Amino acid sequence: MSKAPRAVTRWVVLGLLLFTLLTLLAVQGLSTRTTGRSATPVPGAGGPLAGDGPVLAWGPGGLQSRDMEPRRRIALTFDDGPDPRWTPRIAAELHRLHVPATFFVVGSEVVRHPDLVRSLHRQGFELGNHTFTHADVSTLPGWEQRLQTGLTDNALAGTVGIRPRLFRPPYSSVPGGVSAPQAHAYERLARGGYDIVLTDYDGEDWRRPGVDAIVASATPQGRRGGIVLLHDGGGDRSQTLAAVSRIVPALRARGFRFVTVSQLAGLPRSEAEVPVDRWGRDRGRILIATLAVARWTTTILAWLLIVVALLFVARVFLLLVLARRHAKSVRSRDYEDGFTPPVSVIVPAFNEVVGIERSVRSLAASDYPELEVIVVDDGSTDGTGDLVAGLDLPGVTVLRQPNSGKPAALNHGIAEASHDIVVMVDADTVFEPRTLAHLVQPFRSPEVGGVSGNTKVGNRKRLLGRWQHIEYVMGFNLDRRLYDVLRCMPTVPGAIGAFRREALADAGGVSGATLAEDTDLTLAVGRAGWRVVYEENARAWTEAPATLRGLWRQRYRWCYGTLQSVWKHRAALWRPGEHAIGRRGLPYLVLFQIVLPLFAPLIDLFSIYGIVFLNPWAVLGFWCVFTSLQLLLGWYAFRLDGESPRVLWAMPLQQLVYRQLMYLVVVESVLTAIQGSRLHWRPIARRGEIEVEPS
Amino acid sequence: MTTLETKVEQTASHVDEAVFVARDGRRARRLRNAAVLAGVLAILWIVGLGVGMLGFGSLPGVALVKGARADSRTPAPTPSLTAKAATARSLAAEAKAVRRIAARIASAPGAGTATVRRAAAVSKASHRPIVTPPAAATQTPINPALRTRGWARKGYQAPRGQLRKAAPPPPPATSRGRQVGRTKLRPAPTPAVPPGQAKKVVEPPPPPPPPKKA
Repeated sequence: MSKAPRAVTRWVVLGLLLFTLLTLLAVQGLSTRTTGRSATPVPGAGGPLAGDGPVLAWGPGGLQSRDMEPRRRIALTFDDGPDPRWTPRIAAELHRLHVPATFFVVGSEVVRHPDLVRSLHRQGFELGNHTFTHADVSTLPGWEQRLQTGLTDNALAGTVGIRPRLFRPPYSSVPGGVSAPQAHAYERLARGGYDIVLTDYDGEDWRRPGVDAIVASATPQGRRGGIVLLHDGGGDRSQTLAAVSRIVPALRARGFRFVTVSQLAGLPRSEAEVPVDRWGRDRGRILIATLAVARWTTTILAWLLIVVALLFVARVFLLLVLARRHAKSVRSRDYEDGFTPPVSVIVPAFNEVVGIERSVRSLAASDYPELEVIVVDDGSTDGTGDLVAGLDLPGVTVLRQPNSGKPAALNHGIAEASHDIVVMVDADTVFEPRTLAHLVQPFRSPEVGGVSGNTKVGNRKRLLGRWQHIEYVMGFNLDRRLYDVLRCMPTVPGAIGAFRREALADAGGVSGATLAEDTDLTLAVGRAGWRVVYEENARAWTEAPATLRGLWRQRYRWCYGTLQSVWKHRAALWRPGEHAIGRRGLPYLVLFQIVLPLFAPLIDLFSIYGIVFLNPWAVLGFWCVFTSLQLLLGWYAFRLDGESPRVLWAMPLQQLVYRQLMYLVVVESVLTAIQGSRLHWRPIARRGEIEVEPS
Repeated sequence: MTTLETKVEQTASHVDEAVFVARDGRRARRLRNAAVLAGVLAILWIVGLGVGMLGFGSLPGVALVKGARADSRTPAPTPSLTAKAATARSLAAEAKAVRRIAARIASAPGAGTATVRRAAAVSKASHRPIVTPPAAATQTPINPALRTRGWARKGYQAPRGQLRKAAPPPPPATSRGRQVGRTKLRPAPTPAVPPGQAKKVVEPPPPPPPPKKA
């Protein structure tokens, strides 16, 4: 298979998985969102069904009451279950009292607790349909009514192999309390063969009015029995349980006996619980299994979301604390003037004709006494080498080599360098006159083997440039402060970094084993026992990718290269003497630059889930908290960098495109790493739009 | 400024093996297989969800009148006017065919027996009840006194042998369309059918609907 179709296939599979995940969340959300508390409608004087019996069915003339004479018979009914806490207790109490009863179950709870339903069925209790999500059928269109009842039927078919004929509409009570829209909905359901079971005596236990009140409401005053409505799910049912224990003996003492709804209505049990065929049972099982998958997946994702949220908050606080400590240490530094060791600056270049002139001129104009600049033309075809040679700048040397890659070019430059301090600079980077002077200051300490400079985005006029500017200041620079304090710097950026030649030798030179040669080299120097520090005053201006395509290429290379570097240096985890890198740098890198971005889409997914299926205000509240934390972090980072925080207005917009692009970069990088395919440098178009702001 | 032309030395970058790059396609194949498996599982889940959401259709109806036999084989819904008309047309055609057969049998040599005449007469009488909507048949009244007798439960008006069996109720149906389609008389027999067989064709019509509940 060629490269392009393979990439397309990869995205198709990822798209399918994302679609499935979204469907799965939607199913989970739909199957749990509408379960609400019960309510008792106010009985109207002239409701359409006032004067009718409590069991309604479809007859020749439309919706009609079943002809039933309750005499001294009571049918106890329980709605809203099964509930793992209360249903078994109520069932056990009924069993103890030898009382049959009818449980009107909510389909979504049946799917969640099939064992409870099986247990009820085994104990001989009658089962009825109470919709799938405790939905008010009078407010639903016909298709959704059918879905609500059909899904519950399927759930019961898959659980106990029956299809209930008895249907208790949620938010119903006595026939006199039925409104016209409810009557219309009941008519439609009855036409489908259901018997609509209303109530004679509503215990109103969902209000939790106290056991006495429930007993009083659920007990007939005269000799006429009927259907009693109670609840075994939807909340604390301790009062219901206590009321049952009192209602049953009291009514028995008055000569009442207990039956199921079907017995009261004169229906054979096989008509109240119609056995389903094998296909119906299998279909029900499939429904239960698919919803279980949705439930488990949602649960796992919810836990992952909690982990991601905790990581995010932990990182914010860690950065705030350690950045503050770093700022204090910087303020206490007292660099004496006059430390200006001779420096070799190496500029590897491949087709950099757009920006290299400005870069080399800025280096040559450095306010630094002893400096050599070595431009290594890595087989450019656009005349880069000739351009630099034509500048005829003092102290600038051009080396030419056939195209061999950036690591080879750097090694070539290092080999030709005359001095012990080697500064590596990208060909699209512009130095300030004092940058070099600041960059070398940490080398006063003999334990320092490498220094990372402060890279600034030079093209920040457009939105993409602003976003990258925010990321450089908030993400990269704050991270560098943290790494500096923890003494585990993993990356000295290619744009501006300085190394002691001895440290480079200890690291074995610049390796071409990874695409992030700067991270690879820094980790190697760190593992060799050298300290690598961050010098925030050494500012260099670089041109960030101006298009999404360019940004994708750059970050793909960075992310994949970081993965490669971490993997290459994984031995630091257990090697003695390399603990700073192995036990602080690498875990932080993996956790916050790979794992966190990999699972960060969960925040987006669950935000949508919460807005659609949960409380949107709560989701908005969480979003505001997260954004506020980020803004706080951003404001502090900009303050430390001496930048104006006004650009932070663009940060909330980052959540819409930029963050998603970063997720995809990480996903693509991880897949490429697993696949084992070779990734090459891909050029990024430059425009030469760097604007240096005075420090 | 100096410009130097130098050859590239064999540096570490040339000898280092690229990290993660597989020597063979085994890892790529495994990843592909895993992706295919994940895709198949995703599709299976979506299909399973679709299958699990398929409904049962309407429940078979049960007589409203208390004490009436719960006839699970009779569908509950009343057919639409169009369906009623179609049923009536179908049944009228059937009756016409029966009358034609009866007349043919009557005019045949050796015909004119009391049985055949009675058959023809009943066939004419079958006009009226034939157009009764099938839903009304669900309300078949049965003498409460006879309700508990075995032959009564099986749909006979009298013990077996004393009276012809009543028209069998239609088979179970799950939708109105099927209900209408199945509420048919048997196909008209060919002229070669023996007289005894013809008797079954001219069975008594279904009884009138039951009295509406007070």
